[in-house]
Amino acid sequence: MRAIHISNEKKRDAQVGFEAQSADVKLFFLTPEGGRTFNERYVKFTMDTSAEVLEEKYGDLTDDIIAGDPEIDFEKVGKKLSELKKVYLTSNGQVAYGVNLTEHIYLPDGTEKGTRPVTRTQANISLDALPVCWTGKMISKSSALRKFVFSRSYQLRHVNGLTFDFLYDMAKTLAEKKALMLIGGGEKGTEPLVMFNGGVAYRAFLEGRIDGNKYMLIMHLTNLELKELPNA
Amino acid sequence: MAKPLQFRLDGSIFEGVPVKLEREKLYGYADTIATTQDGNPCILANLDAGGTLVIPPGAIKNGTVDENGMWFEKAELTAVDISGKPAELRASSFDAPVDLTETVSEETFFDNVWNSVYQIINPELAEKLGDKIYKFPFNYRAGTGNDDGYLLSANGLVYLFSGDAISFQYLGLGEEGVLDGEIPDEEMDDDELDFDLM
Repeated sequence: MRAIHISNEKKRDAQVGFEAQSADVKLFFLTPEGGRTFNERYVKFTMDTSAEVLEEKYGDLTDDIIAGDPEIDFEKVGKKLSELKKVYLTSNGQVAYGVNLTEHIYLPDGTEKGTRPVTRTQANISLDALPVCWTGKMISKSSALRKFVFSRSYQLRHVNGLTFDFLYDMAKTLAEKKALMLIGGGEKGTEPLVMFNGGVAYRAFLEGRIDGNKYMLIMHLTNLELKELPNA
Repeated sequence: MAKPLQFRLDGSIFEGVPVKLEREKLYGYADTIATTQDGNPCILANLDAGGTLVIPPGAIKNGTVDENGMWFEKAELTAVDISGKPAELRASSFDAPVDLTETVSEETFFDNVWNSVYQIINPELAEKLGDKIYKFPFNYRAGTGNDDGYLLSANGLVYLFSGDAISFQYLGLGEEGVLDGEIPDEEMDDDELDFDLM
């Protein structure tokens, strides 16, 4: 379970765990014999057998395909792929080193607004960073779900008795107020949260629920507002 | 003209064309351009796990195989539900009016992973929905899949959320977790802008 460094309204901080929940699986796909199936990724073509390369090399491929199999690399096509890494290639298909990355920013209507160098975000939720803190800004559940689209949710979990009380009290406060609390990172606690190195920045809200001596504390993340689309 | 969805609420029919809500439509987007030191453009490709095979763009195929690695086309497979029964074929939600009869709590609405959100312009429906949240089976296309659809009104507009339920558990004192070590990396979406709501 991953860790998050978080503080409460009294500025008491602790490191607790958080985890995502997967959607309940509704459907499975079986073979005609009733066997289980798995999704895999495979190599479809290689650098030497792409349509562009073959066209440049052979021109009209018809006779060559009839005579042989220049379009298939039997060693590599069909290879099962697991983890992949990104790599940049030059225009002649060589791996590029020392690549300059620039972001071109566009407005919703497609007009280019400007450029900026690409910067890699750093996660700001760990013990190395300042604790994620309560901003004090509450929003009712009813208002929150009508203002934002929460695209990710993580459940916070205690790691010992002290953090159980810590999180239980948070959940109880929020449950009693029937509201979500905006939480933020950085020195002033106003920055959006970045959950992974190189990840997207999200605004985060805590929701608390209580059931007797058990609690549920959920962190809802959003980077999209429920706003009227222009020209819809 | 895009096809509208129809909803039946308290005996009346309301309709509207769903338009997908996306960040780039509201905030714009960013494209990452890579260039060599000489300023020549680069293209993004993949490297296999061993780092020995360069896989050009578009050269990865998703496939379905059985336990022996035999390839199957989707049309050869049978969809079953969690009890093992053949999955029901459902019509598209665009084919007939969607009955709005079931309302849910805010917590039930929060306990979902959203696949898509759509905006529907119909002021009368927005007013009729009030502060209620309606839940219904939603199929954008006919088939065996079915998302849970939710309808609510916000700021005079109607929004349709399509997603799958997730289950959080209440935690007691003895149900503590164990922490991992390092922070993993995530693939950064190239078209994400900084986002400041407040």
